Amino acid sequence: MEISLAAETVFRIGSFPVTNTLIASVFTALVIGLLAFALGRRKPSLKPRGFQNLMEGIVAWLLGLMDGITGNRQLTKKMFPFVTTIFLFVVISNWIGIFPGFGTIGIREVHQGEEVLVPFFRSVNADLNFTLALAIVSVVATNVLGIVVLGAFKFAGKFFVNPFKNPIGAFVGLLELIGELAKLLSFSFRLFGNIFAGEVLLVVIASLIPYVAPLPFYFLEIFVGFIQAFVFAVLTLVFMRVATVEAEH
Amino acid sequence: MGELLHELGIDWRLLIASLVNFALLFFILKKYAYKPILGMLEKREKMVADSVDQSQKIEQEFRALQERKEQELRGARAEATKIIEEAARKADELKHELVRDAKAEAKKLVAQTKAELVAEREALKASVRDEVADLVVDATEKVLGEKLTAAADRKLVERSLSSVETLPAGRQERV
Repeated sequence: MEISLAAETVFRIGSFPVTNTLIASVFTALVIGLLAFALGRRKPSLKPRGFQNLMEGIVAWLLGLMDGITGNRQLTKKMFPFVTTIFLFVVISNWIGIFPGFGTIGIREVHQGEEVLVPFFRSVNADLNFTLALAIVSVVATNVLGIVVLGAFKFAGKFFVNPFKNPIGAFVGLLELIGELAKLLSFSFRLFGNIFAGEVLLVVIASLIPYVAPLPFYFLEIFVGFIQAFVFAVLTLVFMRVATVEAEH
Repeated sequence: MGELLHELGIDWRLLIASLVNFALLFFILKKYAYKPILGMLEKREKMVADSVDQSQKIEQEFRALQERKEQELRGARAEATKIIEEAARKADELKHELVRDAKAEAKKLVAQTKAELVAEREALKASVRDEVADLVVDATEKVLGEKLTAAADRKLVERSLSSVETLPAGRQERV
């Protein structure tokens, strides 16, 4: 049993390492993209049926949920595509990561004199590259939205305060700036930690008792996968909400 | 730091690949999923709001119409009552007038009849006087056996008759 913190490279294109998480993430994106195509292919009808009905229900529920946080339908509509994409990508990739074959099917390679299994697929968020990328996207988008809504000058005023006029404000602004960087770490490590731990847990349990015993842990992972996606999306939404509020002086 | 990043498996090439991956997914979803669904939801929301507004408007109009109908009905009823009252009043008036007219007519008729009766009696009285005068003349002629001149005779009779006429009223009735 080998557990590697980093994702394994399955093959290389030139010097570009194609890792098993990259394969899984492309697969996830394809699944979601195809669903979107299936939805967008037909012109949506005023009297929804079947698939459209389901999707509209989900969207309406999400809109209501987001309204509860933003308290403003206009703002919700601005944030909705971004936050929903994060949520969908994270939850679908987490759930796909539980599929059998993830982490188990692969090729044996010799690394540093040891024979290790290199799986073809690995849960996307069990790779810090992807969670960090999502965190970067989230934080950058939050700040961009803040600039768009408040204007660059007002938004910068949250972080940069004249220390001679308002030394406490200047210090708080500095903390806010550090906070933005801390967000990157908390976002990426929270998701990575949860999903990676889940993967490890499943591998360990399956190696101890291969039958039936891992089942409750699979349920747990389905739940955790949803919750982590939800937390990531809701936190992004909350940070966006905060970024669009003017600083109080 | 580089050692730590390497240990965590962070590779800037993978980072960029996943960013691109996410961006692509974002735009595909935005174009094919969010836009149509949000548009449709908005459209339906607007439609529902519109139809609710419309139904409220229709209800209001209906209520106003009913109110007007009721008002008109009430007006018509009042008008009818007024007309009936007027008619009754007029009929009453007419009745009174007719009765009054009839009474006057009857009174007039009675008076006329009375006058006629009086005139007739006068005429009768005159004719009786003439007759009596002639009779007296004749009788006197026979009695006297001697014929007076007609003129003298007549004068005599008339004198006697006028004496009769000057009798008191109570006795005159009996003539």
